[in-house]
Amino acid sequence: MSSYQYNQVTPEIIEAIKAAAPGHVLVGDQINEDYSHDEMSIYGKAMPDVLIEATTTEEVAAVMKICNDNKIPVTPSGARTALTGGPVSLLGGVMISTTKMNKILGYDKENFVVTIQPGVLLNDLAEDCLKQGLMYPPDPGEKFATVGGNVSTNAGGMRAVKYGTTRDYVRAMTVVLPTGEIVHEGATVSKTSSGYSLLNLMIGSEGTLGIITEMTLKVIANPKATISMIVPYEKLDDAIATVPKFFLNHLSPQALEFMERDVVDDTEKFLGKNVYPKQMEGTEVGAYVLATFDGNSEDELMDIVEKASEVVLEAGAIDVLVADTPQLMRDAWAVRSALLEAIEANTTLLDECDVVVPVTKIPEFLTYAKSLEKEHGFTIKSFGHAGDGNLHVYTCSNDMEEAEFNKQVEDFMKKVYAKATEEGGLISGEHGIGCGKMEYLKDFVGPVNMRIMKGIKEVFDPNMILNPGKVCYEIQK
Amino acid sequence: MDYKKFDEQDLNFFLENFDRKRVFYGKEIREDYSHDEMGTIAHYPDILIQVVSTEEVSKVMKYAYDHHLPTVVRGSGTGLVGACVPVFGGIMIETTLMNHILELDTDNLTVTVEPGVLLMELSKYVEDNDLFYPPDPGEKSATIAGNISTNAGGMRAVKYGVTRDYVRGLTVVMPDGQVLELGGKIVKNSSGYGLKDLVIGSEGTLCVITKAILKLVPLPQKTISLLVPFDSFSEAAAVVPKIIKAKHIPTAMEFMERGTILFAEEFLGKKFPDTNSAAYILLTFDGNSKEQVEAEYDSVAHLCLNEGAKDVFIVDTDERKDSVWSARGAFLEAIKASTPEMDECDVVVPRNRVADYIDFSHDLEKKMGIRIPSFGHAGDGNLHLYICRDKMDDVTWKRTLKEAFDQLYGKAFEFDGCVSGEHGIGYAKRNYLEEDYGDYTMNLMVGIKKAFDPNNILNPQKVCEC
Repeated sequence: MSSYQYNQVTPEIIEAIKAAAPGHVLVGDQINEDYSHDEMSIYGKAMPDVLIEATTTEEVAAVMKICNDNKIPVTPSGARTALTGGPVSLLGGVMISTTKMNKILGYDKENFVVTIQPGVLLNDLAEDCLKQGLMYPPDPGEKFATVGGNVSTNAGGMRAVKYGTTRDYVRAMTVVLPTGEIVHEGATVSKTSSGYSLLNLMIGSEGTLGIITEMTLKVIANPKATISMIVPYEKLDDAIATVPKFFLNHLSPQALEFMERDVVDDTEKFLGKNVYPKQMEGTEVGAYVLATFDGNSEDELMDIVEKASEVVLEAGAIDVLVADTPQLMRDAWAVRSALLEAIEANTTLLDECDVVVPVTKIPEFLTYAKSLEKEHGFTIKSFGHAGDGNLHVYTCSNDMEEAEFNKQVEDFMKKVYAKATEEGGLISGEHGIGCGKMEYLKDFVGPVNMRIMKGIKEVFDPNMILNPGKVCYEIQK
Repeated sequence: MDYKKFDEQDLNFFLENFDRKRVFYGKEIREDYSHDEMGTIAHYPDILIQVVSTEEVSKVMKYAYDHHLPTVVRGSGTGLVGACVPVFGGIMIETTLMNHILELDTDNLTVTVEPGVLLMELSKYVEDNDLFYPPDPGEKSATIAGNISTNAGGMRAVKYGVTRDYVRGLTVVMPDGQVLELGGKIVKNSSGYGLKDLVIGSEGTLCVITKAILKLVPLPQKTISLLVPFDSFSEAAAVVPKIIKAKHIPTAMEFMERGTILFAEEFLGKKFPDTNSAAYILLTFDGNSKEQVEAEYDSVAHLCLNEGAKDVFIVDTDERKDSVWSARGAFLEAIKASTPEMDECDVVVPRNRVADYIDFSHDLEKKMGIRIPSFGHAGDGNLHLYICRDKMDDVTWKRTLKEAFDQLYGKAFEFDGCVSGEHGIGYAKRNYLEEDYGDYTMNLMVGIKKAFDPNNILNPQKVCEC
């Protein structure tokens, strides 16, 4: 196995970088501590030596070229909301932040696309589209992630069940390759069969194959009306068993989330709100399904809600609460959006897994994960996307030693990933592999797959300088 | 290319290890296997094996890898760019006997199929179960793995997307015989590089697909088409972006010209509902209720009439549906029957450049004194243009074809389009792909090819040259 050598950043290199990106370079103490970690600091902290707040494709390319010539590791960085260590500069070196490249460059309404810079925040894009009467359907929970980051992890979000994931909305991109070469992948077309899909390879590659500096995204007409339903169940099993019944009855929710009672309780306490019913008709609520439907008119939606209510009640729901005012919908979804934050606020030691399993396997998987709580000595909180089988499972502890926690978590993760595999699932639905999940990916996909990925990495990045230590390329410490 | 020559020892291996009824060599191999539907290049394989399982494919590949024999996979042979032609001879793996539908999962809305299932069999099977596989390429007797290998698009791409959007998981055999699972019965995936998406559209050059898990949707309850005549093609094509801009998303938006319709009438011996106009667009709408579909097509019909449509024919009776869609389905065959030889260009351009592009092709016809009949997917910008040889002699034909292609692809690139929307690159279109992408990107593709297939034994000389 070949190993790659890297060089330290020298004053000369810093000068060259400053000349390539004048006024946008921070060094040493000028760099905020936030740049040493993402939202899951458990996967290690490391400061970059140099931070470039890039503003143009050419700047990124010029810096990249200097680093490639000098074998300096480079780590791309967005809003740093990642959960698997993807934007952590494990070897120091240069970090290129895209947050200043945050402009929406324009809409093309005849081809239904919008062109943006990578540092635009998801929230800003979503709101701007709405002003145009359009919708950018991917809707990951973290609204303050950059869209470039979303593309890099192929983030899915709440609406994947109806509208698919980020991958389905990327038509074209400009990418700076690790050699400094600028390439354009894809086109503003709806079909293509023109050679290997480098566009699709870039999507989900977590900033290891190139730095995205511009993107053309597909948008759709904003649905004219939406409505949500809160559906309480006695048990999670019943809630999940409802999911396929929606589709078989020609109901196509844009979002279909499940939440367990304990997590909802914690979150409502955290938010100081009381939105979800806890007890209904003498039955203690154990789990909820939160569904949103969209359509072209209020009438159409009322028909849908009526049909959906029949379906869920027949499937064992205790009752149905229709959130038909904007306020009610906001409240219902505010709780959903704050689940992770509430868990974070209540927990000192936290790790997560983001498996995706076939929808029908959700209860079995979660029951198994929960059953491991006692032997590992931490609490397990979970929620997720019932419509698409993507589960977010958190291991939480407030009293364990960190080393012990890490040891227990590692053991736990191995077991749950094995379980997910056995059920026909995968390690990550939308958070990616980064450095935190590489060991598990190896076990999971096997050596042939890992070898091909590393082979591809070497094709794009002959000196292995771009985001080393992530996804498929291990660094020797 | 320095491959080992297929010899007696190789032959014996296959005769001994595979069912004799499914192994063909020498004169036993039918002429069909030497070319695809377009027939622009031809070469026989040394041996043809009709495989029945992933294990068999793995066994063939391992042997080919150990003995450095070039190997090509073939489905129904309906390709149009020579992708399944074994240009160096060697082994041909045919998948048409792997034609079983393995599982319909109505809870996860997936169907698991073997690679040789035909598109028409798949559609019928899922529709009988009240479900829907939306990709709808014109060639219904193509195999599903062939569709995956070219990322075929079809008529419904404007609303439903292309084959890529419906592939959840793949089982593939690598060039050295190892078996990999990519993706699965799941909706989201962020677990390493998107190898599944790299394999989709790779035209059998990276690995052999032996199983696919496909996404299904509930079958729309109601479907209706409108046939809208216009005086000129430009007017017809100009309506399309306006329909989209008005936020109507028909399931299909096809354009057709009178000349092509007349060929199809003659070819099928069936009348089209109307042939008085120069150009038509065919729009299809689907939904869950009659009211919903009617409301949708009503506003689009008005929009078309305001934009110069001469009339709007509602295609709602079985007879009309049959006459319109059988004509649409027969365009390629009909054009083919109108000329001794032809070659095609399957460019895709942004939707709002379709009218300009077709105008350009008409000018080119006049300028060069040749026929370039066309039809295509107005809604997604994917056009199929056919350069007809008619009475040209060999030398003139070759020269004319090259010039016409240079012009047509050149214009597509100028419009920020791509070489191929759905037919692929194969053998025939490599030059144009290189012209579009340049050396740097082509080298990346070669590098990827080598990462999968270091000895370059799987479908060599296709897509990118090693």
